[in-house]
Amino acid sequence: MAAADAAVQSTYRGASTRPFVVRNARVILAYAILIVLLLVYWQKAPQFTAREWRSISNQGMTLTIASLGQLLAVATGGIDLSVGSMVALSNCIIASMGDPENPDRSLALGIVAALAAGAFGGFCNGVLIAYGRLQPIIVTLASGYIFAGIALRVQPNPGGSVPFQRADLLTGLQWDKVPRSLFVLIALLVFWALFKRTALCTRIYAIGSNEGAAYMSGIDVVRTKIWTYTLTGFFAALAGVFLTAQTASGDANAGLVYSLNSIAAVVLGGASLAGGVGTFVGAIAGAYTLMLIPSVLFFFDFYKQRPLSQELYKGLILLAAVSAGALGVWRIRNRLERL
Amino acid sequence: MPVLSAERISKRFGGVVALDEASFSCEPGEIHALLGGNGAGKSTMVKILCGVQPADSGTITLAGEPVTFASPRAAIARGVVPVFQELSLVPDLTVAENLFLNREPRRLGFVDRGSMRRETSALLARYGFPAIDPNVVVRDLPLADRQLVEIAKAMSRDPKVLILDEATSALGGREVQHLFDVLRGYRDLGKSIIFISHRMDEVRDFCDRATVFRDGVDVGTIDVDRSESSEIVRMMIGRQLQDVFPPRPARPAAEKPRLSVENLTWAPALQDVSFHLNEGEILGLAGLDGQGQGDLLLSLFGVYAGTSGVVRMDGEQLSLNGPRGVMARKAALIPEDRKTQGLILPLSVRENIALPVLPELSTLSVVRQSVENNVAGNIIRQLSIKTPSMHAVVGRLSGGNQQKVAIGKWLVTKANVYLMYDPTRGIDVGTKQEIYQLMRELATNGASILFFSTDSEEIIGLCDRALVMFEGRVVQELGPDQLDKEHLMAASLGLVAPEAIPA
Repeated sequence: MAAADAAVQSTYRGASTRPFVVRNARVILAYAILIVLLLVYWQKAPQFTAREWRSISNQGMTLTIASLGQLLAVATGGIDLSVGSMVALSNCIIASMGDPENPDRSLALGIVAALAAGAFGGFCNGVLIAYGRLQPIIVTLASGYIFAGIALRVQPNPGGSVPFQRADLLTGLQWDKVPRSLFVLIALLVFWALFKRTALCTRIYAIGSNEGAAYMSGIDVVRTKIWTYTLTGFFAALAGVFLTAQTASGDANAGLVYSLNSIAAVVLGGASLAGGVGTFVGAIAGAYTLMLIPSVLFFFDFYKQRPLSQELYKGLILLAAVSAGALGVWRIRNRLERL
Repeated sequence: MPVLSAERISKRFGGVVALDEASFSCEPGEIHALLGGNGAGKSTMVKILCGVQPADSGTITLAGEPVTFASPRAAIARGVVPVFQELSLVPDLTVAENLFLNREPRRLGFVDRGSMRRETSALLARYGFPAIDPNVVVRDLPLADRQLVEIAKAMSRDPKVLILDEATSALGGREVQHLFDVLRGYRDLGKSIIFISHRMDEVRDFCDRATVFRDGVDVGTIDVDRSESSEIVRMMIGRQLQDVFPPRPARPAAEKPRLSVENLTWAPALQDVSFHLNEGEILGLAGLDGQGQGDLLLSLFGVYAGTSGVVRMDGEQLSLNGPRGVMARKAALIPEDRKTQGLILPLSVRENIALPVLPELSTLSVVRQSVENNVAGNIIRQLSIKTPSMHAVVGRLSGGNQQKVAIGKWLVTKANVYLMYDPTRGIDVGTKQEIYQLMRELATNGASILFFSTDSEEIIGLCDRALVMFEGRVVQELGPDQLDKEHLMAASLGLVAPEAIPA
């Protein structure tokens, strides 16, 4: 079949699919930045062992999972500022439900409760955005405050009970060599490959690309948006599960950074906040780039003297990547449309 | 029995009557053209037929049964499928994904991309567009191919009635001929096509019958083969001019050119446009909708990047690098859409009027309120803008008064050149006459006005000369002795002697 497809392809004149490199320029740029950072890390690190790999892999994983959820909201042309609070809420639910007497059962129940809370919180966001015609940025800013408030009620002080040996199942080393979080990443990639083949995924990108045309093609825009934010909430809660495994405790303030970082990660990975464009593969590179910047900087003297300036470098890299991606705007010949 | 008929359809927009008990019907196996000048009502008729707008009164009958379509989806479900000029494709999806959007073939719950691709190839081949790659993202397709995909998407729904509203505007001659062959085959299966085009030769070549609209009324239905073009033009022209325009003063013996344009090109919308605009002159830009008149005004105001050609104002070159630069040379643009480009609706009348001259009204960046009040008060009096006070929010004024504010804010700049984009569209007759008076006063006081209007009576009644545009070119210049409906309509339809078209 592939051969037949290729034979047909060669007969098309005029516009054909642009070369792979051109189509995926933003994603390739994101991986180029990531690879440079990894090379520097590898050069500078005193010893580079499986443990180093494990710590890098774990550090980026919570953000990667949260970014998958954020990507879906961004692909519809929306945004979800409550992702970080949902990570925190999920983390606090699991830790607070932990029972040292009955660790496995309480952990399983805690995870189920956290994921259900995530999906439900996202569903509420979706209903308000889709039915209420409210702007996503303000709905999720408000619901983010609410989730953060609930997280503080559930777990007023950092702590709770999380069994270490179970946490190790997600964050440890397999065969003493391979970080187990890599398996999580592979599972997410398999999910993404399947999800891309669902009608829901097409609809999400169609709405973000041209909502009017999507509506005129008979797409149920309201339902699609509700599904999208439900999934975003679910993945935020899943990110909270991984964060719990990593920190082995519950902290209502630990998750909050993931709202803005997940937006930065999907944009670094080539997504457009205007909607319709962006991939999970790119978001992975974006997430790990953001997480590696402080680790890499730590090897440099100029940074050690002023360690608080890591945000400065994150900001510079984000701006540089986004600017490179925006160069195409100069090809637009109507100045009104460049605005 | 007709497959689709509209009986005594009426539609008003505010005070403007778009359709007044208009009727027409389309037989099975027929290609039926809707003809008419700008604002004749044919576009409104199409929008009502396919559920984009409701009619105020009248009935639509589909295969003998009265129907009302609440939305385009409802019309499509009943087999009335439109293809509009504004494309309804999703730019970031591929051709195949667009064709099957919301009805994707599934296997095990997942979209079956392979079969979607194959079916798309088969569909495109069957409709005669085998050269379009189903895997290309629509954003990367040239405009003509996008239009073909749009038509293929409509045809793949197997409509009873296919409505093509200017759907061939981006296609070249060979593509159009090819498309017509495909569509004739479709007609021969007993399907009907309603066809709207500004290209008269296409209507002659392709359509069986045509219904002519004028001022919201159907004037008559004709067999295209048995009618002369001149007869059709006469049907489209209609009633005599009313005496609503200010008298035209005699032109001076020696004209002083204020703006001279040589070979201005912004492909494909503008092609080698050359003309002079003289001091104290109202120069009309005529032609059917969307022939580049708006693009000409926007490019002269510096909105388009990458124009070629030379524009001189008062003998000195004018660089078209943005509205600010052009404004500094004393030009003003009254834009197409006063609500989004002309005015800041939530701001007050005073603030809107002061906006283009804020630096002149300010000391150390602080706006001098008393001066601002004076300026705004003067304009409100000069144009008799009906507003409760100068502090009222512009968005709450009537359309005509909003338009007066949109014009008034440029009077403050004391511009020498006014570029006006259909400034009387959608406003009442009384205000229209006031705007005509104002334009003539400006011209008498030495300003030059390049005036695009979709209403041919305004061009004839108000202008000193007119340029007729067709597909991005100036095809004819009409002097005072040629400014009449016959010349204007014939030139607008591209029915001019070939030697009149500049090479």
